[in-house]
Amino acid sequence: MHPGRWPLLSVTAVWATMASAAPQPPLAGPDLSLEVVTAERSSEKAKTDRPSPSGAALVLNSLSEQERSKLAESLHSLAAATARKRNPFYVAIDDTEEQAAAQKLFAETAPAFTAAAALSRGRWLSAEGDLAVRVVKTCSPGSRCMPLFSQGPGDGIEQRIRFLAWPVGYAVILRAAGNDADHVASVLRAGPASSQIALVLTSTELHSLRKSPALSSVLKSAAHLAKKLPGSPLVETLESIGRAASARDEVPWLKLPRDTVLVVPRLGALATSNRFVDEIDSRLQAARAQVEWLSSPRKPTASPGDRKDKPTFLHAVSRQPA
Amino acid sequence: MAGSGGGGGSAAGGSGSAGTGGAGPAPGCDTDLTGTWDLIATRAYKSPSSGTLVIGADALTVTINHGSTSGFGFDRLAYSTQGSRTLSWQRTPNPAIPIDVQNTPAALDAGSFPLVLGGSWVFSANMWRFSVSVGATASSLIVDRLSTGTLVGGTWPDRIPRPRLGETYSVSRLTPLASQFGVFGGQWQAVNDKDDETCSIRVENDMVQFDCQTGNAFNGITQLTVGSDCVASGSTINSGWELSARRR
Repeated sequence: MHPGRWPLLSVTAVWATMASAAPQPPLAGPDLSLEVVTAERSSEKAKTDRPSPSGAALVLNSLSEQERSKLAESLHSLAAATARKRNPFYVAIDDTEEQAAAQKLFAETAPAFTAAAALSRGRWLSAEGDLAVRVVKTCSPGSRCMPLFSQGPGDGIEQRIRFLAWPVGYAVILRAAGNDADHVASVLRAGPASSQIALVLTSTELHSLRKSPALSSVLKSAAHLAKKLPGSPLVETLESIGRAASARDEVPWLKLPRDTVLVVPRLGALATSNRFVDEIDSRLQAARAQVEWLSSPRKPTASPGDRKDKPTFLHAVSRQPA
Repeated sequence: MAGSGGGGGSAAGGSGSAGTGGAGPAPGCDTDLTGTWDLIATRAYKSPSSGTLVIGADALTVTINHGSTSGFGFDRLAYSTQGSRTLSWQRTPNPAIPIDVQNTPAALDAGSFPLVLGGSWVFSANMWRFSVSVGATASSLIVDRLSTGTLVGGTWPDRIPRPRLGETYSVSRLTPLASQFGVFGGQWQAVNDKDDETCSIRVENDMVQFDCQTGNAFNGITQLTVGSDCVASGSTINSGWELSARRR
């Protein structure tokens, strides 16, 4: 057995042990940089809410090649509906066709864009601004810390922190056996559209756009359509898709181990994290994909759990540390 | 009318008492939703906004920030029966708009939903008046215009789908179902008097689902689930709304 790994089949006992005995996080490392964010600085930053990346590259990377082709078709359909509407010889009875095309696009992409935009913020604040959460390599002394990799909900404050930082706090992180993260990601992307999963990204796909034949069609269609829909709420998103090829790394702070896959739930599915986890589990089992569960908001019904020895940490800064 | 109009009240702070009172652990959310909740909400292709929900037997305050914190401004709907009955809507930087509330209460078991809902209600503000009757097996909503003129201090809360003016919406229960929301548990049908907007509403166990054919943001399927761990979430499939909330 690899040092630091739990056997894949020691299922329930491993989960139970992990949930009750959280490892102590290291406080410093010679090769790691540390940014200290005080509560006061946190408030100052909150007043100048920095624009976050759109997450378009993350969304595109989360799509399978087939899904990219479908997205290109949806963009093409919407462009065609828009063009017909502008044709002086075309008498539109209503906007049904255009609306249907737009709604299809919403349904296919909106949850993923929501998750990607939230993930790429990299820093999550409570409504009052008194609690800021970010992912760091090393925790600053005196701050409340907890492992990013989680095997359960934790105590009250930990649950709150994970909720605020939901794109990572409620995510499932898997390590692919046999160094085949691409295969695991493709398994999770296959099948019918999920009502629970927003994003599936390998550790490589977190940081650079995956090239493919359908990608260029999506980029071209999005850029074209953005010019045809002035004033539409879609324009900003379409433009960000069109620019995705030249976008910089949207989550440079999220350096996950090699051969890992990050699965982010839909914002609207946090209450059903059991279904989210079980859907991942059932897709993996159906494809006989072998993984280690490094992090999960819930214990899956049937799969083994494990955690990594040197986790990245959720870093919470509070005016009133719990 | 037993209740008297409020109006003139300003939005009380973003958080506050939800009537929880006393020490000890809060009851499970399958039996009582009372408390302060963190909210995260988003519209399609927008960055999520944070907010809070404070709910109790005698108060409800929903605050949705315009950015990541309240420092960027906020939208707030605040209702309280502590002292005089007050209801207001505010979108900063505009001042709060008082909404007059009249209520003739009637007993109604809403299960885990703590706010008193039963009876007849009339909400009036600016040119709008909503007459609402909430009962165990049937409810109705009548929307009419008080007067023509310019809206004062703001418009209809655009985060809330707007019912159509001059129409009566009727909601009736077709079949009762077990639910944490008491008598609201069941399969319901909502329809307007022009019969061109309909909703099929299912309230069962911890879930509420609307399947609507309407001309507003309610169109399509809207679903909300309240988990026993006090995390609630939902979405509207057609318009891209998503929401999650967690009780502190």
